[in-house]
Formats: sequence, structure tokens, C-alpha cells
Amino acid sequence: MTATPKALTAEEFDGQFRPLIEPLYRTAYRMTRDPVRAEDLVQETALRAFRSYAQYEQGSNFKAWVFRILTNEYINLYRQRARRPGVVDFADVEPVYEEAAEERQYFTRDEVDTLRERLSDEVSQALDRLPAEFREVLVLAVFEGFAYKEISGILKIPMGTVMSRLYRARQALQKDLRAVAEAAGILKRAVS
Amino acid sequence: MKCPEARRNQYALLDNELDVAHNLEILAHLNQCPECARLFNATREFEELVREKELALPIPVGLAERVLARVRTGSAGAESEVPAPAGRVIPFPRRGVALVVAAAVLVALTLAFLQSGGGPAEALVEESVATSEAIRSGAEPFEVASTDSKALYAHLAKKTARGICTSHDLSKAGFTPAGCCTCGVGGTPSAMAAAIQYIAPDAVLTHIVVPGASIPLDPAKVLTKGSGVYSYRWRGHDVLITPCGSDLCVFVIRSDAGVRARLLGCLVH
Repeated sequence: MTATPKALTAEEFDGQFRPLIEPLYRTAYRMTRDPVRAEDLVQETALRAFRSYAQYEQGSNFKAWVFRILTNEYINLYRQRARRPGVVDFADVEPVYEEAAEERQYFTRDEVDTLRERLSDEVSQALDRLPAEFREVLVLAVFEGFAYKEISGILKIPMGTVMSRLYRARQALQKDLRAVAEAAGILKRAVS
Repeated sequence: MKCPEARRNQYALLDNELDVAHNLEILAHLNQCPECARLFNATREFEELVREKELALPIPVGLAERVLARVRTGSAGAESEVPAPAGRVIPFPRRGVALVVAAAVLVALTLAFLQSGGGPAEALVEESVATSEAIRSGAEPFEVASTDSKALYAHLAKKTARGICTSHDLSKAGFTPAGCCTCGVGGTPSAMAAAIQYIAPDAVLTHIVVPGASIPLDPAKVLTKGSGVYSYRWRGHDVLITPCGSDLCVFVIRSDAGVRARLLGCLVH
């Protein structure tokens, strides 16, 4: 009854993998912004995970392992990370927390309740407007609950970069939604 | 901890990335500073809103079946299929964080895991209550089950005037959390109860929010003011729930599978 990892059947794999399909799809969708590509990515991820299952360290974080496969696939297919020589990603060198600058609180609790009632697609659209590198960390941290260290391993970026991008992603999302809500008359313009 | 530091750390708190000592510090601050607590509350609510909207994303019908088919057939076959258009939304349990910051009467709980009459869970609850009572009343600390708890308690005895020990990194003190609980101090529930009581003796847990559900607690099962700790087995995770300072407390429990369950509790004062 107990199969060694190398002899895993598709059914056995499915049992372990199935709970991850919807989280993977949502993440893939957020990364590609395309349902067809998203499904493609999930299928490719499943296939790769199945084929390389022997490399998965039993007892370690299966979800993180699978998400790393998804992210690698996504980067290979859709995100060219070509860099011009000499150009450094600013996020890699900036401090983790930006003092002063844009450390704003964009919503009160009551305003969030209002947004919950009055917004539908706007949040999804605002997420899609985020730059790709912001969206990626946000999805992994906020929706999938990965630790900063796990995200660092999944995206292969330093932990400081994870924290910096996540902070900026959150601020950018809030700022965008604030503007959307004010423009739609859902929220009053904040007195700043 | 002063306000700017608390505000700077609010996302780290939300993401359960703070070490134990800092966690205690910031929660103590939130308990004492209504403005910071308000801001944190709003931040957390916004995150919850975004998560809710995300879970409403339509999943293509039959996705799981097609994925399995792909795995079975390898690189052939499934490629020629056109995925079904996203249509039916697979219903998700709402992840709304029901935050009732008022003396509200709670809905009676009917969830199976609380009714499962768990012997071990009940025993832990009783032990925790007894520990809390003993500590609050200043009675001699009684024998605790593990040496970890003893060391912790001794450590906490060196608390500052505010009641919080902020000068030590508990992990460096040789304390190994059994449950990876970042609020409180891990170890046994008794030890957690001891830690929590130093922060907010007058607190009652009213809700638990875990991924996929918001669970109001049966008031009959919630301990009264000066409460202790619950331990439950929930969906394969060992869940330790303790009331904690401020309007809320946050725990992370790591199950054996490495999955994190994020819990938020809301308190009634």
C-alpha cells in the first residue's frame, strides 16, 4: 500500500497535490493575468511536480516546493529577467522600511467596511495594475500565507527584497484603491 | 515600544514574522494605545478584504480533473484540450474576519471540532485555566508538565514594571516553542497562559479566524475574564488559542506538513 516516492502513482500524487490546485490557479492567474495561461501553468506545474517528486524531501513544506516549481515555470515562460549589465535592482539595495516617505494609512476601519460593500471587481483590477514583482510577493504573502523566508526561496530573491517589495506593494495597492474609491464617490477625499 | 516603532512593525505583526519578544512588545503597546490599535485594525481589515475578493476569483470548471488527466497522460493528450471558460464560482468559506469589539453575545458554536469532546483538549483547557488562575491570584506556581514551561515561567518572573519581559530573546534563552506560536511563547498551553496573563488579564476570546472560516466561539466554552488557553485539533493542525492584549491576537501554528494556519482572535473587554 505504501509506495516509495519514486513509484508514486498519479492517483497518489493527486491526493497530495489536489488541495493545491486552486491556490496555484489563483496565483498563476495573478501572475499571468490570463485564465488560459494560468491553467496552462498549473498543468505544467503538476506534471513537473509529479515527474520530479523523488526530489521532494518528505516532511518538508510540500506547498512551498510546488509553488517554487510554479514560479520557475512562470519565470521561464513569461518573465524575462534579462538585465542590462551594470544595472542594479533598486529594491535589492534600498532599506527594508522606508522611513517617512509614503508611510500612509490609507483607510480607516469604517472605510474598509464601506469598500467591502461597494467594491467588487475593483480590487482584482487594482491587483492586476500592480507591477509584476510587487504582485508576486503580495500574492504569496497575503493570499498563500508563505513566510518571508519561504517567499525568498520561491522567488529566489533576498529576504530584504521580499520585505521591501511587499511593503511597497501594499502601499501601492491601497493608494490605487483609495483613488478609485474617491473617483467613484464611494469615499470622500481624505483631508491630508 | 513607542508608536512609530509599533506602526513600522504592523505588517510584520500581521505576517507573523516577529520574534516572540517583539511580538509581546508590540501587542502590549497595542493594548495600551488606542490610536495604534485602531490603525492596526484598519490595516488588518483591509488585508482581509483583499483576501475575500481574491477568493471570489472564478476557478475554471473541471480544472482539477484536467490537471489529473495531464499528469496521467504526461505531455501528450491534454495539450489539445481547450480549458473550459471560467464560469461557476466554486464557493469558498468566507474568510471575513468577524471583529466584534464590543460586549456582544456570541452565536452558539456548532462546529464539530469543538463538540468532538476531545479528552486531551478538555484536559489542556482545564490545566490552562488552573494555571491562569494560580498566576493571577499570585499563588505559588504549581508544577508544570515540562521543564520548558518551568524555564519560561522563571523567565517571565523577571518581567519589567509593565509586566512584559522585553529584554530577552526567548529562543536565545534556550526555550524551544513546541507549537511555533509567535504570540505568547509556545511551549505548553500553561506556559502560554502564563505569558498572556501578564499582558492582559481581562480579556475574553470571542472569535477565531482561520483560513477559510470565521468561527464565533460559544460563550459557554469561552473562559471568563482572566481566561486561559484552548487547544484544539482542527483540520490536521494543532491549534492553540489564547486571548491576548489589545483587540486581537495573532497566532501561527505550524502543522507537521509545514502549513501555517493564521489565527486572529478578537477580544471583548
